[in-house]
Amino acid sequence: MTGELSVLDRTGDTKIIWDSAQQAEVDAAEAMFDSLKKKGYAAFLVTKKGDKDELIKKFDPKAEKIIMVPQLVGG
Amino acid sequence: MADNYYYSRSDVGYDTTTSIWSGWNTTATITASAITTTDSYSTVWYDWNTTSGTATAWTTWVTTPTVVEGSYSTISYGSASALTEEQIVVEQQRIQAAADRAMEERKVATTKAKTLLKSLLDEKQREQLERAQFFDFVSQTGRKMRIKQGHARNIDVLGEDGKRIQTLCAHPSQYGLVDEDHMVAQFLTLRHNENEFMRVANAS
Repeated sequence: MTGELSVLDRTGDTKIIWDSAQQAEVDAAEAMFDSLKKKGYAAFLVTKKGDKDELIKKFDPKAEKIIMVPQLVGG
Repeated sequence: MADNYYYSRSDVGYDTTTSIWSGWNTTATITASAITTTDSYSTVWYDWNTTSGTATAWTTWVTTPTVVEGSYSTISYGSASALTEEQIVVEQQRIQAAADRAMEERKVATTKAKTLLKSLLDEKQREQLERAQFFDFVSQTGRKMRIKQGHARNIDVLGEDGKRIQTLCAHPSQYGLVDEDHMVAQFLTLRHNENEFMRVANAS
């Protein structure tokens, strides 16, 4: 099963794909997740179907898709 | 104004006690032969943009050279009139190509972000977005809200009658995101972390 980390950026978004059966890929995706969290990004787990979304604090290797959102500021 | 002009290095004096920083920010104080003078012409910025036969700003920066008062060098400045017509055309084409490239990248980013946003919406919201450039939803605390196309002051809190009762403004801090990415961030945060959104948002 593959998961997708989608990081919002000026290109629209950058995707990091991992295969949950490949530990090295899972580790790389998790490292990216943790690095972005440290920078203040919020993480939202969503389904590819779009029928479910939730805020998560920790990386979930079984997630279908995680959207990483940069920290918000008041406008 | 002449295309090229010159000034004499005799106007510029350095010694090992004159720091580059003071030179950068102020006119230099020159100490030479026990005579201290203030030179109103020599700043590092002045030197930085020029080429000198005996000293360049970089040399000055890294070595703080001693320049003997009274030595001369010639500094010439280029000007727009030194460019040929052909060079001007080439430069204009380069600028236009860069602008076209940036525009194309922006279009691609918008398409990707729009696809991502739509993947989070239900059919009614997608239709609303296409038709009216906004979509309605219910926030984490049960308030009815509307996110409009845009990224600043683009969120309305709606009353029972569907009329705006408040406008909210908060969006990702990252520079260069397209509107649809801002809308994704606003939508997800208001659905799942409304307190955090309200903590940073401006409301009017």
